[in-house]
Amino acid sequence: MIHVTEGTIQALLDGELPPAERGPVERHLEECSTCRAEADLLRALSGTFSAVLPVLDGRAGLGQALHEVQRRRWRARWRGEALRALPRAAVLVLAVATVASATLPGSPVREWVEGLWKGGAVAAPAEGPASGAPSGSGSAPAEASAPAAVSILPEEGNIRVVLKSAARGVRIRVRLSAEPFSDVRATGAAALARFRTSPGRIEISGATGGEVEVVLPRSARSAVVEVDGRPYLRKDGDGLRLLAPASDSTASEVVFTVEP
Amino acid sequence: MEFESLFRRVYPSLLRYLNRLTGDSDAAEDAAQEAFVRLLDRSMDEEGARLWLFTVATNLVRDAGRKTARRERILSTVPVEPTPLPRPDEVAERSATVDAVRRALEQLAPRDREILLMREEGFGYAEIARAVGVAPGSVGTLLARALKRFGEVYRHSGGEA
Repeated sequence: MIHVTEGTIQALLDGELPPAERGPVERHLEECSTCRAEADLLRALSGTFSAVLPVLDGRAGLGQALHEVQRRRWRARWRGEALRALPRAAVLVLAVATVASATLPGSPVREWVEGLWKGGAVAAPAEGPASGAPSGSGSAPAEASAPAAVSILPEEGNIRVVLKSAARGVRIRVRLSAEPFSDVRATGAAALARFRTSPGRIEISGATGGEVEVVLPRSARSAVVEVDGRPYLRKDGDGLRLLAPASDSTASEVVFTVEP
Repeated sequence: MEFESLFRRVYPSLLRYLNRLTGDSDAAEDAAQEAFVRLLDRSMDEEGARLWLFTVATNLVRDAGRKTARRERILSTVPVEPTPLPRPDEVAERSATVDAVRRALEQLAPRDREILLMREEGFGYAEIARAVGVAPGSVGTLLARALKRFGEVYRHSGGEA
């Protein structure tokens, strides 16, 4: 007599056996004392396991825990904003220092500014161009917006990341990760795009610029990154195929730039 | 998905799972809260979020475990007793049971422990397979073997059902 495997018996006990297999396995258990004994053993072990585990449990202080999560979140956000504000603060300090030193009689900055004003041939001090540079970079912070991120788990091992109506020049950075889920993070103008998720699928609509970073789980059976119906990258098992020209690639990631 | 209501529904189960998994209530609370902090940056439906939280928290615990020699401490850790205070003989009996259960769990491979404990929290085979990274068809076998191993060590440690 062919016996039923312990895994099949366990799946039957847990109600996880497909309906088509349930009947034959149950009939076999009625006839086979060896498999019936195995089922009794596993049932008893499951019962013991469930009965003794609660001795390990403590109490969950919900209110305090929720407060702690919000506090940590606030701290992380504050840290992030402080880091984002740092370059702006540096520019401000530099600007104030430049203005202050330009007002000091005899300072090289003042001489340089006076030279420029008079149209004379006063050579710029070595640091001169650097002090003038920040004025041209004022537009950079205006572009920045808080990044948007979405995570999903594969659906039966499959992941699909779809960009719709992405503007020309949007960058798509793709890499693999050991995490079991897929992460999509949009920065710059792309953070304002619309995100929609469904099982195994993330859709990003209307990215007008910026960058979309896609992290695919190495464990996914298959994964596709596509733009307006055109696949850019496909992962089948361990194989990775580029279906559109990459604008940049390294050993750990590949970058596409959306073309019309 | 409303964060606070999700938190109230999922946090107790996640904390219980992590507490059983690690035997370290501080590490369990830390991982559970950190997982929820990370969830705040993401958008997903409730079922997806629940599995995501368990997966992320399990990975956090694994990473922390790799960085420290916590395992040895766990073996000798007995959780703080809840109120009301039981009689001394009850305390001794309970401590012996806690010790036996903890010892039996510690004898399992980390993956088997995660599978068993996720099943206790009501996850199905497909979800467990996704979170732990095994084939769905192998979950039954892994569970059966882990249960037998648990039962064997638990009995040898003097545990009773």
